Amino acid sequence: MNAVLIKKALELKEESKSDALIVYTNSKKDLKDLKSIKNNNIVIITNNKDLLKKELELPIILMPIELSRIKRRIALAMAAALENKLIEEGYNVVFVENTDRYKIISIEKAKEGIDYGIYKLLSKSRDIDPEVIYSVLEITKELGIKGREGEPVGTTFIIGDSGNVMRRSMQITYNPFESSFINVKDPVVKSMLKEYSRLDGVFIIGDDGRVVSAARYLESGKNDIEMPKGLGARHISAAYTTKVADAIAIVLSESDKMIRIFSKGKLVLEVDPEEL
Amino acid sequence: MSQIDDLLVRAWENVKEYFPNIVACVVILIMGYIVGRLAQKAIDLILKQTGMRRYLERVEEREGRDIGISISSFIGVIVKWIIYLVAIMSAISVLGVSGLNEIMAQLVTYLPNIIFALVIVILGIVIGDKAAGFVRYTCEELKVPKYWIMGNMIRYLIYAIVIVIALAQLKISTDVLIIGIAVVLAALGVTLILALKEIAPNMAAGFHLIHDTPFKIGDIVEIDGNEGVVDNIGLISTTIKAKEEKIIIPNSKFLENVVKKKL
Repeated sequence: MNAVLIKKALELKEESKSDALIVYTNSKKDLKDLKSIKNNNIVIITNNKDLLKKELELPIILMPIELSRIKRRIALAMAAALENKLIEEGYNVVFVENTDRYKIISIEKAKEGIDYGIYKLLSKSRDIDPEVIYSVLEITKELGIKGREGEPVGTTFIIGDSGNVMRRSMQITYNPFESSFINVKDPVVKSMLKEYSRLDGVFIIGDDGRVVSAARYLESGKNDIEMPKGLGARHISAAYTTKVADAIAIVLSESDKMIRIFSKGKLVLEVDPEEL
Repeated sequence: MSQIDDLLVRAWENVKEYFPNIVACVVILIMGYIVGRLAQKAIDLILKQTGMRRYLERVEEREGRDIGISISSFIGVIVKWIIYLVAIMSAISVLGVSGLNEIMAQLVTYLPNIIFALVIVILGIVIGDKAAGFVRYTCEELKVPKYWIMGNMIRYLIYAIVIVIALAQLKISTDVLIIGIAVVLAALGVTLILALKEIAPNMAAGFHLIHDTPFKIGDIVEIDGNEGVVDNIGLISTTIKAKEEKIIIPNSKFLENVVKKKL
């Protein structure tokens, strides 16, 4: 059953004259099956660390996180292959997934989209848990699309290096997350954070996803930050903080409803929440 | 010919003698069937009306698929079968076949045990759930992370005890099971003690650091010659970020040593 899916995907690749085959799998058995196949341009994507240890001629990429929605999963896998220069832009790619979650074959076209930026962000996040970044991104996305009580909202999350970020910011009002162990990865926390977004100021999130503080004013400056013109104080202070601390900032703009992500003082990604 | 005739006549006489009994037997069986069905319906209704069914269903939902059967409908089914059994027994006693009678009598004297075991299992599930909820709530209040582990531990402990009591009710030897549970508990206890010996002082210090906040995330502290910005305060350890490194310090150190907090 399992072998059939991949065999068919290989046939599909030949018949549709596609340029590459991406196999998303977590099983060792699939790797063994693929070993015997002499074929160019096969990329393996996995969430299973153990697979990396296997001696294999085929390129294999470990995904930083496991997404649940299939569309995003495919897009992120394609982005991973693109970023690792295993496929190129404009390639027709046969995608086959054989995991417990999905069993699927589809034909995709490789292009540098939003997911390319997200993959880069997640895979280069060093100390920060990629899942934390993605959870925060999900929250800002929902806030961006729906707003709070129908009104558009703007908010900022600063993730990582919380010690230094706390040093370079000050408390506006009593910190509702004082001495708590609330974690953004916990799905029930989502709506709570959305509600607290009505407080002025930013959220500070630790490397591991712990919500350190809400309602904090960031110190701001203008040295060495690259910003498109027209962005306001919210964005500038967030960008400045990522410059002076080893953190990333996820900012939802109240005026144009765009999500912008800053790292090292630079705008690295700009997404419309509707597209995310 | 006359022999066969004789046989037939005797057989007919036998049937004639037993006929009222057979009729009575059939009537009792039919009655038993109807009463059993009605009783099941009634119990389902009572459970539904008293809200017990909703509660049991919620417990099952939380437990996931591991129970497999629905407890609320299970009670009705058991009662139905008990009534069937009683009906079958009285039907047999009417027939007057002595061998069968004895077996049935034994079965019926065993019935209360089954009922008791059933009641114990249901009570156990409810108590286990309540206790787990209480522990979970308490741990949450005390801000112990991963509180559900504690809740589940209590839950399964109560389930284990319930299984042993229920099996004892059913007069099934539980010695092996008790020994097994005792061994598991002892092993758990030893590991827990060994682990707590290291963890407990740190956890106590962790509570102090979190609740009394001698320093906060973002403060610069110096301890044991390590200086840096406090990055995270956990229950067991605290992370301090120096220029090029992260230093993870067990919380008990903060109680034992002098801590300098930079202003």
